[in-house]
Amino acid sequence: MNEYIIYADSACDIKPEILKEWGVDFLPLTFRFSDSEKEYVDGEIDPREFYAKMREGAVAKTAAVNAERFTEEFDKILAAGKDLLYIGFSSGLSTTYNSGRLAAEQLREKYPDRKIFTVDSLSASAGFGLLLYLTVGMKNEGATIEEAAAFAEETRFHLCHWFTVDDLVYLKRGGRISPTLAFVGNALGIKPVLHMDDEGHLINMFKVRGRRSSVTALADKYGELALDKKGGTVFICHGDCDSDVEVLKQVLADRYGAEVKLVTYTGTVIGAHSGPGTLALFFVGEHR
Amino acid sequence: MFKPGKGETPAPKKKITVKTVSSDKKSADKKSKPRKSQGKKKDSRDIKYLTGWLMSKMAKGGAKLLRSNADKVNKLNVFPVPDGDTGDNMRMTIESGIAAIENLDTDDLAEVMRVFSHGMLLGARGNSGVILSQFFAGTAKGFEGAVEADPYTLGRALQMGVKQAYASVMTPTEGTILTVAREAVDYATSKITPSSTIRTFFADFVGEMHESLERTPEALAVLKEAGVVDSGGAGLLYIMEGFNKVLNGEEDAEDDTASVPAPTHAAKAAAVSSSFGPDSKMEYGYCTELLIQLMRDKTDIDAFDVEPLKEFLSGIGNSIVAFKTDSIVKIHVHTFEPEKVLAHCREFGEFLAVKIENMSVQHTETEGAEPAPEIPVEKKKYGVVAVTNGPGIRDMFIEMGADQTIEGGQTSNPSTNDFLEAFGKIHAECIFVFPNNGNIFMAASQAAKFYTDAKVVVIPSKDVGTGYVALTAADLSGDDPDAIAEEMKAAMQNVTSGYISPAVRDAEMDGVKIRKGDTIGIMGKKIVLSDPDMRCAAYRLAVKLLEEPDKFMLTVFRGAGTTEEDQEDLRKCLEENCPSAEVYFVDGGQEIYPYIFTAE
Repeated sequence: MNEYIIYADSACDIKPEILKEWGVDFLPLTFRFSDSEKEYVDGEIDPREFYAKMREGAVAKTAAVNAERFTEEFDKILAAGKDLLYIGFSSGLSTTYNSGRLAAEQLREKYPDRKIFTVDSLSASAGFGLLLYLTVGMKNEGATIEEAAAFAEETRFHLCHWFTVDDLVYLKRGGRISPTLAFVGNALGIKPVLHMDDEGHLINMFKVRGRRSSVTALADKYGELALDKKGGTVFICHGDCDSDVEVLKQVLADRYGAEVKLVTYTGTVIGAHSGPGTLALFFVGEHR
Repeated sequence: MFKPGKGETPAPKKKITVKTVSSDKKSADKKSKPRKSQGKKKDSRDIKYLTGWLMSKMAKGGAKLLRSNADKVNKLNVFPVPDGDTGDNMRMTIESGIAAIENLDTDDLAEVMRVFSHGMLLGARGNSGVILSQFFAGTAKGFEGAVEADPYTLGRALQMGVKQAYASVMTPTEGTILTVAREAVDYATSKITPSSTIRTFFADFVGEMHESLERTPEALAVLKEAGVVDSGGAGLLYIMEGFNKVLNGEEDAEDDTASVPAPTHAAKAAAVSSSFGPDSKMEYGYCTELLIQLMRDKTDIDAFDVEPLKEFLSGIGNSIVAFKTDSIVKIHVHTFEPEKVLAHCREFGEFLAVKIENMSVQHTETEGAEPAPEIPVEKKKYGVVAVTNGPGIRDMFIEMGADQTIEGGQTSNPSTNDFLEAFGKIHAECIFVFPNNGNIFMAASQAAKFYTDAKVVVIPSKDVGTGYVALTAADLSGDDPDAIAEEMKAAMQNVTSGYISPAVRDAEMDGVKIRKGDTIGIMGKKIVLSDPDMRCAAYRLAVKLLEEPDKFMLTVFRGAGTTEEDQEDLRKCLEENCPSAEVYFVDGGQEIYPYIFTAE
């Protein structure tokens, strides 16, 4: 079996050092603050600093990875004689995956003997990260590139993304949520609970009163959907709200005996849209 | 202890203002417009039948006596807080009935009672007002088909009134207006003999009602603890005493009809009978009604408060009604100096309509033009009506999707008709109503029953806080209004409310010693603390609410009597001492309560 590389992009919100450990290569998306031309690479600024700026009112604009960049990077891998499985950030939220797909199409002609697969994760943030983690696991257990790609294609529909944001204004501003769905979120103490649907779009599911209720609502969803409540892999992402993470971890442990495998900051590119105070729970469920 | 004034027992009659009517004489009385007493002395046994004409005279007498005692009834408040309004509510309720029969020209008892009680149903405000209107509506049903009534028929009709009054309350409480009405009716009915007259019936009726009222503290512990009799029962007794006074000729109810708000019937303007000539004495003053458009260049419309205006008006007149809807203020006052009212009101606005009537002149006219209701374009699925108190709270409800707000609260309960008017301005399939006060719920429910153009669901929110929670928790995009209502009610279940209020008298309640001038903290329905310092009381109550099980979030509605500094002080204290709590502040501007809290 020929060696293959699992390739990703930075929207998976997994730290570069961890991705390296997993053997996953990636390209970063980029952003800039609206008051300056300076472009930053996702992860270049410390998340704490980034969220502090957002809390002060800074607006960050993000940019997808273009096909050129992908072509360049993919070319190196293929030229080295390795096969390629690109798993990308949901096409429902970014054109990054499409860039990767175009690059792959282009390179198939150049490298007719290499196997090239692309999978639209239809996921974001550590949900996308969790899909990578599971697929890497398959690879480590000896799955072929075909098997790994098929696994990712199938598993993506079981990746539950349930999250709450402190303020819907960021999602609305970035156009990442349709205005009709962005129902009343500005009322005092009203917190929306959202998820990502099978098409990789963000959907406002319901609202609760109070942050505390929105945090436990995520745990409720875990209880309702998780396939293996006790032993399943659980990731949490947050927009600089550690204390809420602790509450959520505690509730998951107390109620279901669940252990959270990874807690990480929502990265700067995703965070530019979800804003400070975002708390997201990712797990494998019966369905999304 | 409560003393309902003179005349509990049928006093010797100095003049009889009512005519005795036997059935064969009825046709002769058809023309009988209420007229002045002829001072003819009659024996009590003569009044064998209650006629429509007599009934309407008695009704006016009842309204009159209640009117002059409404304040006393207001003060019969269980809690030592300045929010008693039972007297005003009952007065406005019965006056709405009086206005309805003002121009009714019939001696048919059933018809008079039907119109009278219907007017009361529409004007009903406050729980006591609603119960009162239901009592009369039930009694009116008992008179159906009767042009006049003997004591037996009267007794049976009143029994029906009691029955309907009880049925109008979800969980009837004894020791209230209900008990007072029931015991008095039962007693008077049991005393009827073939020789009974209307007058002897009412003597028994009112006599027992007095006794029953005095017993209310025995039946209801909260009354006993507060050292008062039931306010609704007291209001009813004043009305019945007023009836009795008319029956006994002690009172010429006609004197005071002018203070009853003019009915809205048009086309009566022609019926001016000038009883005011060059030599007349200006006896009653002017009934003055203004519709004022608040002007932005003259006043801060949002912050405009009618209270100081009411105070001004009370200095130069009486029978004051003043309320603000959006940027329009409506006032009603009886005064000898209408020019002062005009000059004062122009300081903050311009007039949309002015009506000044000499109350000595017996005529009625159409009311000042109401602002034309907006015509909605398309029928939407859901509409929302909320009773709000204070500009901040009103804006908050509007922001959350309220289509119509009705200004009201603890001391100014909107009437059934106010709700009907609000419903009429909404073009929706289903209307959710947030009365936001326990004492407004019944008037809203009554309006919901009357309204036929849309399904109306009353959400029993007992204060603005819980109403707000219910409205924000619900998802108004659902198809099933009942499911939405359930969702709202479930959200309210999770709320514990708290109120901060000044104490108006010394008291000891729920084990808390209260001194006049202290600030008391009420949690749910219990007084939990009393503190000489308002800020301390607010902080202590907030902490107590957050200490309740499963309460993480506190919404603070700051009232009209508090300052930004008060709020900052509270915010800081809570941040320091309850760092894990989510606290939200709303500049509510409500009256009475410096703070309303909702803990979730």
